[in-house]
Parts: sequence; structure tokens; C-alpha cells
Amino acid sequence: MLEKLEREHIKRRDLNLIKQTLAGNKDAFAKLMTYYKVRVFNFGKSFFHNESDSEDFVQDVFIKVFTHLESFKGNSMFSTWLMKIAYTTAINSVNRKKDTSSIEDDSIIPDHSGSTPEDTQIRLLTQQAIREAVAELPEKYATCVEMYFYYDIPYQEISEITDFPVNTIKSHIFRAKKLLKDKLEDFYGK
Amino acid sequence: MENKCEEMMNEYLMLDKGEKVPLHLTMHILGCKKCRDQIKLMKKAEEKISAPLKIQAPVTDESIAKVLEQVSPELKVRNHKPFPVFGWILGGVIMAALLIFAMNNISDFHNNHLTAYYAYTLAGSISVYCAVFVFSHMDAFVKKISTVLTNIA
Repeated sequence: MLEKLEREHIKRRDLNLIKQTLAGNKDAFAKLMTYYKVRVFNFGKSFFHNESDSEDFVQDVFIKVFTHLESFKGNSMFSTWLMKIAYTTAINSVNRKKDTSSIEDDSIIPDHSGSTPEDTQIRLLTQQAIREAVAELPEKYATCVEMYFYYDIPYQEISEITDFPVNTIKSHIFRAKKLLKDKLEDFYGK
Repeated sequence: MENKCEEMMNEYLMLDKGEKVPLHLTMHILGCKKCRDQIKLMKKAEEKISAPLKIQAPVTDESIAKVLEQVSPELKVRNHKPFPVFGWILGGVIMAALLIFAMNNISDFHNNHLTAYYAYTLAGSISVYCAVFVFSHMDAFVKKISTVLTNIA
């Protein structure tokens, strides 16, 4: 229930900022970028390994977002639409470079949220579970699992972004969740 | 019981983000501490792993500044809405023409007192028209004035 309300709030906030951007408000677009810069950057980093290329990727994605902003109708979340652009841009770049790695390989997401040791432990266990779950998957499905856990994107939206069937995505994520459940169970005792 | 818990947990793990938990599953969770604890941990794990990517970047971020620099010319075009003057000019000309035409025709047949009355009407109408025009385009005037002042400064 709370998740739904939060998503609705974010959807309205983004739509409002988009309207203002389309009316020529520079600050509104800057604000919109601040909400999504970190995730686009990390998404880029999982594909390009280094910060410099990831920063270029961020700029590339946001310029594309700006150019096509008028075509965003608000039927989906702005984040889904943005991630679709990021995903397509990353895949196209990777096809050119033929050099990829998953987010897990570099453990690139620093946690600045001031976690407790227990939080850090849970986070580590989750990272391990995701790493194991995606290890045997083809790269394209590994991205789906990462989108679910790291980017907090639901099945249907992952399917919209990647064009993979929802049930395929669901089964890969289920496996990762099961691994996570077992790890947590082992760590905290049955 | 173990099998039942396993079955329920599998059902829970299949659920999507924000998806409603079925009633029979809720009932089981309420009555089974083990499953309840596992679900709590799973939720916490999912929250913790996605939290770092929800951090807002500062507006002063270099990439954001570079993007803004590149999109600024386009934003200026969007911000500069064409001043809808054509309709206003046409309306004003028609209104003035009708009033002048009416005043001329009437003055041919009537006395000077009536002509003065129409002159006042004409002046009043044009004043009201101008006032409405200025007030309805106040935004554009303010922007224009501030641009001129900035250029002078």
C-alpha cells in the first residue's frame, strides 16, 4: 500500500517537472536529473567499467531524454521510460565496444546511507545472492535481476524496458530471491 | 508444516514489488513466526540493496551542468513562446474601425454633442482594450523589461 502511494507521489512529481521542462524551465529539468543521475550513472558503470565513460553515458542518456521528452505521455513511470532509454543506449554502446560486465563484478555501488553493521551484513548477503543468481545467466537476463534488486523496478516494467517476457524475468528473479532467502536463513539461523 | 511453509514462501517470493499479498498467504504469515521473520528479512534486504541508488545527486553535479549547457539553447526556444499579437492587432483594428465608422455616420446626421459622446466611447474602448492587453501579457512584458535591464547592466 505504502509502496503504491510512494510510486504515485513520484509519478506526479516527475510529471510536474516534465511539464515545467517542456514549458522551458531549466531548473525543472535540472531537478529531474538530480533524482535519476545516480542510478543512470551506476547503470552505465555496470556496462562500461569506468567513471569517465559512465559520466559520458549519463550525459548521452539525459540529452536523449530531453530530446524525446515531448513523446513521454505519462502512461508509465518516468523512471521506466528513462531506464528504457538508458538500456537501449547501453546495449547499443556495448554492441559497439563488445565489453561488458554486470554491476556485481565491480561492486560499484557505494553505500552512503550510514548503515548499521547489521544493514551492511544484509546488504553483503544480498549482493552475494544476486551474484550467484546471475553467474549462470546470460548477460541480458543478469541485467533484469539487477534491475529488480538494485533499481527497484517491478517485473512488468523490466519487461517494458528490456522487451523480455514477464514470466522469464519472473523466474530468474525468483531464483535469486530463493538464494537470498537461503542465505539469510543460514546466517540468522533457521 | 515445513512443506506448507515452503509452499507459502515460494508463493511470496513470486510476488512483484508492491503486489497485494493474497489473503491465505497473509493468514499463514500471521500464524507462522518463522515465515514472518523470513519475510521481514527479505523485505529489509530488498530495501537495503536498492537504497544507495535512490540518493539524489546535487544540482551542482558536473554531468548535470554539462547536460544543461547543451540543452539550454533548446530550452530558450521553448521558453520564448511566440507573443500572440496578431489576433490582438486584428481585433483592435476591427474594433477601432467599427467605432470610427459608426461615429462618422452618426455625426453626419446628429449634432456635435452626440459626436463627442462617440469620441468618448472610442477613447474609452481603446483604453480598456490596451489595459486588458497589457494585463493579460504582464509576464511577457516583465521578462522583456528584465532582459533589457540585464543587457544594459
